[in-house]
Amino acid sequence: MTGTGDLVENYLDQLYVGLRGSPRQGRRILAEAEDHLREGVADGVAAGLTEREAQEQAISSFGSVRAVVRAHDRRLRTVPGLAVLADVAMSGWRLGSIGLLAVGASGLVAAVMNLAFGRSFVGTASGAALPLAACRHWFSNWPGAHSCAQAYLLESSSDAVSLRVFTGLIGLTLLGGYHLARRSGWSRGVLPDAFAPTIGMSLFGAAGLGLLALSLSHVSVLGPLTTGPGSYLSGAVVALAMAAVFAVQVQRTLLRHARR
Amino acid sequence: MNRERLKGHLDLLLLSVLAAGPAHGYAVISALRQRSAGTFDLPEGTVYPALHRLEDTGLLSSSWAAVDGRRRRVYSLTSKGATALAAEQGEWRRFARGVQAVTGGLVTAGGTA
Repeated sequence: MTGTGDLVENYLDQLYVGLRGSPRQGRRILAEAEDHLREGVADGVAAGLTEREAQEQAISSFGSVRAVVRAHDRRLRTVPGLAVLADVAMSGWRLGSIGLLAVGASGLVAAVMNLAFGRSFVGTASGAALPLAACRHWFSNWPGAHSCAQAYLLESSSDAVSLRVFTGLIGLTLLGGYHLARRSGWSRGVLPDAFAPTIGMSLFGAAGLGLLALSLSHVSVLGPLTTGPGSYLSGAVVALAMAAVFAVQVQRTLLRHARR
Repeated sequence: MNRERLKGHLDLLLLSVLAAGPAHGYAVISALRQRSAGTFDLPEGTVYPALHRLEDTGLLSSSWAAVDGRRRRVYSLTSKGATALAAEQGEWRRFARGVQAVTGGLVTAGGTA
């Protein structure tokens, strides 16, 4: 029996509304409660009770929604410190991997900027004489360059892509490792759902705004070398996009809790 | 039996039931009630947080099984749990002997008074 006439369904609905904690904990508590109640009903019916009587008895034996929620709340308040540490470490692993992946994405944005706005938009221009040995190295990589400054511009604008993409690949590998670890149960699910998204939103937001300010300020942070605004802007675009993604996650989590 | 008093010994009781082999929550609670001849009769839903807590501390492990189209969590005693159970049982026996020695004497004295 299901629907409004099913006392077990109604009980589980109330339990769902009352439960706090992570979604995983909630799903587990509900699944165990349903299995327990259904088995209790089956035993009651087998003992000669009507379906409704068996449901009433099973629910009565299970305890009031308030008592069950309170018992789970007490347990969640006494979460072992190690479980919290493990979840914080897992969150750090996830956010760090996503951070490296974002660096990789900014390399791709820099590549598009190189094509769209020219190498000087992303690369570094030199206002002073460059070391001879370094010039020889850049000329060997860019034999078509007309000057050492142009070779350096080409080298730096190219590095802005290749080094970042390589960093992104490391992030992708680490993110894969994170998901494997999560499936293996390394994450205990004791932290609030909004924990990692809130930190991600804050860090990416701050990084994005900082990079945006650098790209607009035209302030050289490399002495006589002037980095093109695209170098910072490519990072700012990705960081702010990531901050927006995390902000949506935070909003959804808060709305879900508000509805409970 | 007073529920608060029972809660103080719930870990020992749950570990003892699971020493017989893996079982899901309903079976654990049914065994608890049957083996105590109805003395230990907690609201069944409040036993699950205790099982979760024992799992958090590594004394139990658990895994999902599918039964009649429903997901069922089956609990097992870990080696750490078995060690803790042996220690708890020893401590309980010493405590029970002490209480028995004292209250038994009082009852006798009261009965003869």
